[in-house]
Amino acid sequence: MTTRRKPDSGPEPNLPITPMLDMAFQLLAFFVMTYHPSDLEGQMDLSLPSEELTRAEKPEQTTNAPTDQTPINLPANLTVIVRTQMDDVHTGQISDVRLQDDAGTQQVEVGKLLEELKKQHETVENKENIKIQADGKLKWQAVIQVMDACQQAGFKNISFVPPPNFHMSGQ
Amino acid sequence: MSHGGGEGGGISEPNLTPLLDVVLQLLMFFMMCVNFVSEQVNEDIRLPQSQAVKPMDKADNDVLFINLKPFALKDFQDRLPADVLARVQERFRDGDECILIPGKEPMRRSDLKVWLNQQYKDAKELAESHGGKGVNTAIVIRAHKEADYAQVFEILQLCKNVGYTRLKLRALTKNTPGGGT
Repeated sequence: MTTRRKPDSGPEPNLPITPMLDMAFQLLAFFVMTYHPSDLEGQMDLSLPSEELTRAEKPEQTTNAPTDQTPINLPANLTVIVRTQMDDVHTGQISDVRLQDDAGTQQVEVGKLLEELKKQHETVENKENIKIQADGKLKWQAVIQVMDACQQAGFKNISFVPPPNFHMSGQ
Repeated sequence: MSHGGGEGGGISEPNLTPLLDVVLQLLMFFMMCVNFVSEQVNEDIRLPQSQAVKPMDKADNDVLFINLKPFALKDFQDRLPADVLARVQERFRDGDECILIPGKEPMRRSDLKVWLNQQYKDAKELAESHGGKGVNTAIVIRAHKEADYAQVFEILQLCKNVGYTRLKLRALTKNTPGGGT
């Protein structure tokens, strides 16, 4: 049995797409214009001592006093000491960088920090950990620059040493 | 001049369906991006740039965000209700350390300590009631690039003193000259 449909057997359903497309274009234009692509964020995990060593038993134990028993740094042979000038013009920028190891302290040019860290990485005993001690007034961007150099030199775990004369303010 | 062949019959209509498909897909992309951005990013915080950052761990659900920046009144003038703004103006001067927690009023460090203690206590109780080992909350610190090292260090120390051990620092991905990130 053959069923043959007549070409004009009735009105075809006609979905009006044009108004929908108009609206979709308007919405699209709105989102395109209000879209501000932000730079891609990433994160750095901090290397911390084990939980058992550091957790306070009770919240009341978290006093304002400096707490040497809860360090946020790991044992390392090498420390990068970063200083900033305390004047109105240069405060916050790196003015002096030193590398401190078991043998002593050595001044390094800011531009040659990465090169020097790579050299030290070859000879230092603990090749994983490094500490950064910065002045309290040093800007965070500068600290991150030093962290970058440490990571590029091959140190995986970077930890922080309290700034000189540091006291928890607890304001 | 004649156009095309045929018998001058049916009206030709462009097929709009594929166009509509593409437009709707683009629309969906932008809508999702807008939601994502408003959830994660506080645009007032200008993060430092770093080559050493890793991509974010999307599977990490238990996260507290701490934003740190020097206070600037203009950042809040059009955003806060008048009574809240008055309180903020009383407590902060331009350049003061200001801690921003999503959904909270601007805080000082003393407020942060109280808040973190409460969060830790609640998380610990919740973990114990579920038979878990302990608090597994990650603290994500988004510090403004102009913030002082001492301010960031004190927040890190405070988090440690409260009991948090999973601390993460946020920075913007900086492309290296070689093309990597």
